[in-house]
Amino acid sequence: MKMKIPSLVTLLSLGCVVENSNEIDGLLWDTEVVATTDGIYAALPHSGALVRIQDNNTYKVIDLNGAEPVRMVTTPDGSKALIFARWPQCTNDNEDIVDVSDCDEDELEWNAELVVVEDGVAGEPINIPGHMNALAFTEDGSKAVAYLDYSEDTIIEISGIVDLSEVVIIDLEGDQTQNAVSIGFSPDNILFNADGTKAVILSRSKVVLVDMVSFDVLVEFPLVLDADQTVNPSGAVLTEDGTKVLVSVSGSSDMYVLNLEDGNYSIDMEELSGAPADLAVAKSTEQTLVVYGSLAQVDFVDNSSGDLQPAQTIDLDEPVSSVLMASDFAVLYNNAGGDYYDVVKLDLDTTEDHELRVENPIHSMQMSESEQYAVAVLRPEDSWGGGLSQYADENWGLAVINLIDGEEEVISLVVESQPVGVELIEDTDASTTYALVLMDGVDSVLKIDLARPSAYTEVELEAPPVGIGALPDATGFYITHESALGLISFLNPANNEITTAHGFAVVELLDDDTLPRREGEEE
Amino acid sequence: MLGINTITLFAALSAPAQAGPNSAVTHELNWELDSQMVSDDNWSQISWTDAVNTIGISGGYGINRNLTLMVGLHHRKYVNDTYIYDFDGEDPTTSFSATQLSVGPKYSVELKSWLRPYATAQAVAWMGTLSADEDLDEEENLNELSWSAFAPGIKAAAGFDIIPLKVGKVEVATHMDFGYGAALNLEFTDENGRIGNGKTGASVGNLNLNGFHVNWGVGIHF
Repeated sequence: MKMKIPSLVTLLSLGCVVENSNEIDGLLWDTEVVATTDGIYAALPHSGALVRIQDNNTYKVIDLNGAEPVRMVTTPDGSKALIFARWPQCTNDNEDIVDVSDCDEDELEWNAELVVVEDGVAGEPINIPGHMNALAFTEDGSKAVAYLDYSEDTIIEISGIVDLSEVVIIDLEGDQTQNAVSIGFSPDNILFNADGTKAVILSRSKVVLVDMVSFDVLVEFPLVLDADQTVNPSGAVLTEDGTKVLVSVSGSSDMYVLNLEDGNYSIDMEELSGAPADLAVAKSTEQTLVVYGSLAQVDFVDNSSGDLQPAQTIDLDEPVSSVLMASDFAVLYNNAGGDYYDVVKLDLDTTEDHELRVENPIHSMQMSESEQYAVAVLRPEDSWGGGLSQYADENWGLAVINLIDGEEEVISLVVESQPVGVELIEDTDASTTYALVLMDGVDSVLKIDLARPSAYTEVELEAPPVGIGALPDATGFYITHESALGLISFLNPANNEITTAHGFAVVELLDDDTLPRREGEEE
Repeated sequence: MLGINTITLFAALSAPAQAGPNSAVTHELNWELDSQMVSDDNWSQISWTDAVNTIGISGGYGINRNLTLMVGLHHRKYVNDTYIYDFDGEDPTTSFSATQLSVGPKYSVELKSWLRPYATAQAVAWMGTLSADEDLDEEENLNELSWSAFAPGIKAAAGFDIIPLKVGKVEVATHMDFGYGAALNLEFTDENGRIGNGKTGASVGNLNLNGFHVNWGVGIHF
């Protein structure tokens, strides 16, 4: 009998490769990274890990003792990263429950904590209420106040009771003691005096002055006399000498002037020209500038008396909604969403104003450290004209604003796509200022000489960028990319060299969701 | 008495080999499907099945009419298009390849000319390679990554050979056995990463391949 036997190779190769698909629940890494002096910290949502990435393409997994990072901030000096973290706990003691997925949803609790990470080492966790998601720091970074920064898409996970009037003051040095202080409903604006010994905390209808050494509430300033009334502070500034805080209120022309001097606490009210859009303290003239999104004028408040100075009011051609404060001048502009194009350079000493005009409405603006240039991102707008004007209207742009005395001018540029990141750097050797510009979907970063905006260098990137940030030690910049497995570029602006760190998002790629820190068991 | 029976058994197992299908000793060559059940939850990231199914060959050198030294080599590669929720960029492709090398004795008895039950115990070496690639179209892109792991183990099984056809000195045979395999974890680590005190690579994941085991094959005995 003849029998055909398939060749050995055919048999061996039959079905040797299986093609399939699988799903991963959650991003492998979060591009919202933070930079400290010892590296970039990135959260890995899928694995629940925190990694520190360095520019030599190495990374370290930070031991959070089973907690997973939720949100990250850094201290003002960039020496520490503060991690809002949480860890799961199953209320069911059944020994068969090993993984998070084994625990029923209604038996699963999440515990919140704040962890200070320095030089790749996590400190002892600081217990904070789970709903707190933001920190305000004293100028020297030695103390912080944790609070809830609430936006409409914020989800507050309730375990038991949530006190929405509470903040937690944390000493970041030494024993990292913390103290909860009840302030008033929804405290979300915190100011510190220059030496960090006092904090002004604003909440609905109340302003509280807190001693940052003893954690005692020194004085409470009620903003209403009738409990049926409520006012929501929209903005606040602390005068340079720390003796007064000026508080604006949503939808009202009222401004509260609170005297913070020891033994002389008082509240005064000033009637402004309208509901202010922004307040900014001018240190050189000891005044506060007030701008209104709907009024084409800028007002001045004397910081020593808290009084409006109507005689100094400056009328403008267009309303402005924001103020960028320099040493001896201010830049006023409108980015509130309307069709306004004026940028005003206001000399604080002489109150002379120099009006400039950009091509498209302003999306955002920033000023260089040298105060010689400002760069604005211009958004597209509906176009009623034709030709080049229409072309400019329909595209994103950049405005390079020369603020040098006697050379004030605007150069408006059209860019390839929406800028997703702009950073300004000073080149002291070349005595010029550069702007680093990332654009959506474009695999390069533009380095624009602000003195000669049409002259730019294009530095190729490995992948489309998502964001850019400055490294705290001023050695360069980091750029995050749209990359599933992790990709961060490090740019040295001195020589335009790029180094990359990649593949760091693979930690625990094969999911391991073991319940950490089971009670009564060792880790 | 027990001592004499033990000596007799040992002598029988050690009897010198003789060639030919109707003689005491047979060598064999098989093509096989090997299925190692996996109870590790991490396996679900690689395959929707409950087992590592490998394909390969095995060969046996007859020592005597009952005892054969078996060597096997099996392999399979799983490739996954990985979809990441909430990610707008290009999803990566991940793959896992498993290679199993096994060696050990097989003891069989001839119940009928066409039926030979057997038992086997073998040392096993698993070699796994886990890979991830962000862009298959770009050779050696930055995120074309792979990690390898090695895990020794053992497996033991019992089954039977069925010989439906004899052609001269060659027997065509099929076999099937059932048993259990146990091995150390395949631990994949990334050497670019560090954990703890910095001396250990970052864990990419681990796989435990312990579980029931099934093997089926066709081949020739000669």
